[in-house]
Amino acid sequence: MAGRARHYVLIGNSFAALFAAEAIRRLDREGPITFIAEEPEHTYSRALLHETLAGWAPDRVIWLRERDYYERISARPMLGRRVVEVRPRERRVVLADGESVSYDKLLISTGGAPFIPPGIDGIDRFEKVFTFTRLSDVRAIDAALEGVREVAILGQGLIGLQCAEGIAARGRKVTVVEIADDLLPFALDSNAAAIVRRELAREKIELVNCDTFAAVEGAGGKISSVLLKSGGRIPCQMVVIAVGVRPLVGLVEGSGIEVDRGIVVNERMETNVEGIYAAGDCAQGLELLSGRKLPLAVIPVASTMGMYAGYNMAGGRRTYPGSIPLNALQFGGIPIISYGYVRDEEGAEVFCHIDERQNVYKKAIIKDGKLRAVVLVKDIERAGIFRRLIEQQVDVSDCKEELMKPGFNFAFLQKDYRDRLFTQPQ
Amino acid sequence: MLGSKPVARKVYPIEERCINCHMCEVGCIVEHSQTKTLLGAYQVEKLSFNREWSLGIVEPNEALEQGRPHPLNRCLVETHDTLSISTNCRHCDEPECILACKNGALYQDEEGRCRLHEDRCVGCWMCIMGCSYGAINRNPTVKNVPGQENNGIQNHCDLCPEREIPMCVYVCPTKALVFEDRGRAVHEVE
Repeated sequence: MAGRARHYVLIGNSFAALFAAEAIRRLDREGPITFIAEEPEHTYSRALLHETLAGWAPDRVIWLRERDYYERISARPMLGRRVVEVRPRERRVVLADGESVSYDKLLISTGGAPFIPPGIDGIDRFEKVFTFTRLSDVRAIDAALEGVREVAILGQGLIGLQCAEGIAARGRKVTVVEIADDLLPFALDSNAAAIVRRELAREKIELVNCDTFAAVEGAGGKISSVLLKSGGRIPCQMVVIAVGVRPLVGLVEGSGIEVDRGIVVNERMETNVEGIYAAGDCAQGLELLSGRKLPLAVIPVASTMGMYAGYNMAGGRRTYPGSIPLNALQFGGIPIISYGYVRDEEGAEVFCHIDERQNVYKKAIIKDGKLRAVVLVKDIERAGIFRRLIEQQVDVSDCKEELMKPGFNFAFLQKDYRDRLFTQPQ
Repeated sequence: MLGSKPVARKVYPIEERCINCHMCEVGCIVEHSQTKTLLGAYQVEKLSFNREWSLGIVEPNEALEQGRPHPLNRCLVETHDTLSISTNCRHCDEPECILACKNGALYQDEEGRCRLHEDRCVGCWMCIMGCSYGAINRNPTVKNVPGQENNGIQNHCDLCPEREIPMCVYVCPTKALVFEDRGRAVHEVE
């Protein structure tokens, strides 16, 4: 791009966009960077919404970067502006207010949007029906809590359960309904889920499974109850729908950019359209255990995809290595970390360490001598060691009995593996 | 936030020289204490710990309540049979902890070191999930989200910013830890 600096346009203002900008700045200190994001707020963490609602998180912890961040990296923020169309032939994006912005390299990192399942009768007739993925949702719920004694939430995924914890901390009775027979089926196995259920019960959060909302009921715009498909009723004055998020990809319609479940990208995070990249929850990168490309809506994956996109947009040549599913959660102050498909035990060896007095539960799933999944409840110290062992499919057959025991450490692993990690710069 | 400059000198362990004396851990605790003296750190500030004594208590907050504080050393001697090795933060060029941190509390400073804004860490332990080097532990004595049970902040090597040579390297009696420039990470050269 001789003669003039490249203009980088990043749609989004969360993890993928931030790390893309920082990677761009490692290779290109001159090219202008523009952030365009629908939300007007300074960049904040979506993973702190429930602590904010609970009133636990002080304001200083929710912002992802300093106030002068955009200045410091010489970027222009266009916040509170929504991109409605991408025009690759003109190399420009069109905003909802009619303005358009031209780019040389474009990153789409719009994230996800909450999914509202069809078939809930009356859901659009009431004011106090919310979703829970944005800071504006926290503010809206906070403002609507007055006069609310009971809340019904649909969805026992991470968003639904964290929302439940946040609202319960505000002294409201919360019931969380889920169509599946267990909570957090992707992140937790049944034993870990049982520990979470017990903690939620301690916080007086009620769980209903194998059921869903059939209708929201009430009069004059005010909710009085939720009717369940089974025929049961939950008295409540507020409803939160948290059945999951879908990649937010409406803006690429008609642009020729390929979309599967999320935006399809190659190993350099570039879409099928030259100069347009995608990263984060709206895109699908390589998942290492299945070997397939799918959206993994977790922070480290969004950040890492964003970083690789940034390098490649700025002229680097970097190949995204892929990721495994990974989660870190806590309920009732009990931390849990999991990697891989934690319920897939078919044809596998399973090693557990259980200490009921301490509430400790650890499980490793091993296939062909290689670690496939790990769940750690409460004893999470140094969990990341297992991350690399799974990602790189390291043979652990000679220490498989020790993996989950207290005191397992690098000294149990092969010397060449240790040397790769500790004798060269990383 | 990612910085632009990689760390030049890092701490590297040489396991063949390690005699499992844990002096690196002691030096680390003293260097990060208020008094910066051995007796002051251990007897006045009570930073002392007994690893065996603490065994079986996996929650640092519970250990603290029981008067058995977990160690806050930022390097850790790993042992199995006759092998021992002192491990700590690699100060990676593309740190898995920073890429996982859920609110930007972890950052690379102008020297490329991975550092923590101690007043912003919320104790979500995403960094512990991310770090393949097992270099992060939990410090229950600082709580930025006191409403969250068992809150604390993360704790990892800061390369002793006030010292020319990190204390663990300085005190190691067998030179099983070295502080040197071994060039750039493979991906940086790509």
